[in-house]
Amino acid sequence: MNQTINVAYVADLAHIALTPDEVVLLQGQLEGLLQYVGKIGEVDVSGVEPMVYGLAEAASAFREDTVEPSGLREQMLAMAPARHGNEFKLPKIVEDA
Amino acid sequence: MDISGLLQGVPVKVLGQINVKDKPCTYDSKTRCVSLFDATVVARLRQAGASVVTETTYNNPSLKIRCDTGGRVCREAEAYGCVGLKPSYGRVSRYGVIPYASSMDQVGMVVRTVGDAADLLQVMAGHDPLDGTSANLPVPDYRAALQGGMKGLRIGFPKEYFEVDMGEEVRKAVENCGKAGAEIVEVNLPHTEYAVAVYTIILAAERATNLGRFDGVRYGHRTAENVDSVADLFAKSRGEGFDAEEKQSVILGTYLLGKACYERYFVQAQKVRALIRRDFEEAFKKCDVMMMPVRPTLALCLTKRGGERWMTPPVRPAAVRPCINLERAFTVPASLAGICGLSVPCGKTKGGQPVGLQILGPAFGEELILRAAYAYEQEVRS
Repeated sequence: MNQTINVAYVADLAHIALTPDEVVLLQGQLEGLLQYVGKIGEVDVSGVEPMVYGLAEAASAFREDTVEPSGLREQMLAMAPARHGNEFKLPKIVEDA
Repeated sequence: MDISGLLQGVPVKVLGQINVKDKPCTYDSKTRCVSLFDATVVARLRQAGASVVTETTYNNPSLKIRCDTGGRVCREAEAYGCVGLKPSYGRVSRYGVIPYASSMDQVGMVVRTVGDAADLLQVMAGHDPLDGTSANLPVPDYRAALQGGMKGLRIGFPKEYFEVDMGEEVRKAVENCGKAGAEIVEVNLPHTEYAVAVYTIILAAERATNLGRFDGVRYGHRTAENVDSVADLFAKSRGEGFDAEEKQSVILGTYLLGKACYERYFVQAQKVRALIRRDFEEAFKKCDVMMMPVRPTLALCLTKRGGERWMTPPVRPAAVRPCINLERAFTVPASLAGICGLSVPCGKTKGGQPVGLQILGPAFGEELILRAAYAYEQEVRS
């Protein structure tokens, strides 16, 4: 069974604006990729636990969540697309209620 | 082990993704940021006395480190006739390394000799409390491990990697290791042929997640166009900022993580990934290291004979090339399994292209692959 993908819909979910040409190009690319990766469906995985982490040994070490100064606020704001004082500035948006 | 002065005055080039304080952070072409701190691995290089250089400071040092996701350092090392090493997942801290695919990323190296690799790994390896995936395990003395010799080493010969027309150089290299006293053992890695498909799925899913941070708000590209909603700001900024490959990856990843595909593709890929890892665990019960080619020969990619087994021909091969790259077929299994791998030059093709001998070891078995590679370099290679 060939998997179909609604590229425009998924791009919307992924928050990526595409041109109509890109939608057509990606449609072909992604259907090809899905056809290729679909071959993993033939593997018998009964009783197999999914491997979620890079290594079981390295899974999620936890530490105390303590507040520490980063000291980087000014440098981070300096690289923002736009700033207003000590805040990231966004374009003015008036959305329909 | 005290690493102070271990690389005194040695220039080490740090490539892409890895933060070097005050240097441009080159994650993609459109994000122009300056790194605000050193990645842990860079701090360790400095502690060892190395001279850290980046892409913008041009010169040609013989030691390079870079983030590796699908075995790139080994393929790059082969192409340049160098030694490449990808440590086990968790061996080297990823703190300050911009993630590509978080469950596979590991800082690797391309260097001149196996001895260089041992010294550099000594400096890079070790637990880092700032990286939750960094392994809290002791770091062996890699220089000392080099001296083990070829005699008595059990070398696995995975037949899946040799069953089609492979480069003769690698086959000969393995034979010569046998003549030098190693025991050659046939091993099986039956899920190898699914590795590229599993890698493609996991990579897309993790990239879609990691690239979520590029939204045009705090850093990176922001659209100059008028926007009528926050979602519109995100979509336009990302549509302009991402290149074709990033768009393909993010949209595929978003799709695969969606309700309709999650079990069928993503969870299935994680399970096949577990089987790939199990293949290695079983094989390493019979051998210390494995030897195989770094990449399939071009012939394999082009002929129907090998091609049908290793890949279902995609609808439009040229168009999907950014993601399905069979060159990776022999290096992604190690990345998926989290084990370590190394490439050492073993000759040249008839056309004069350098050929690498890939040596894989169990997770945190870097001393074994270094020993095997050093013995090959010193005792076997003429």
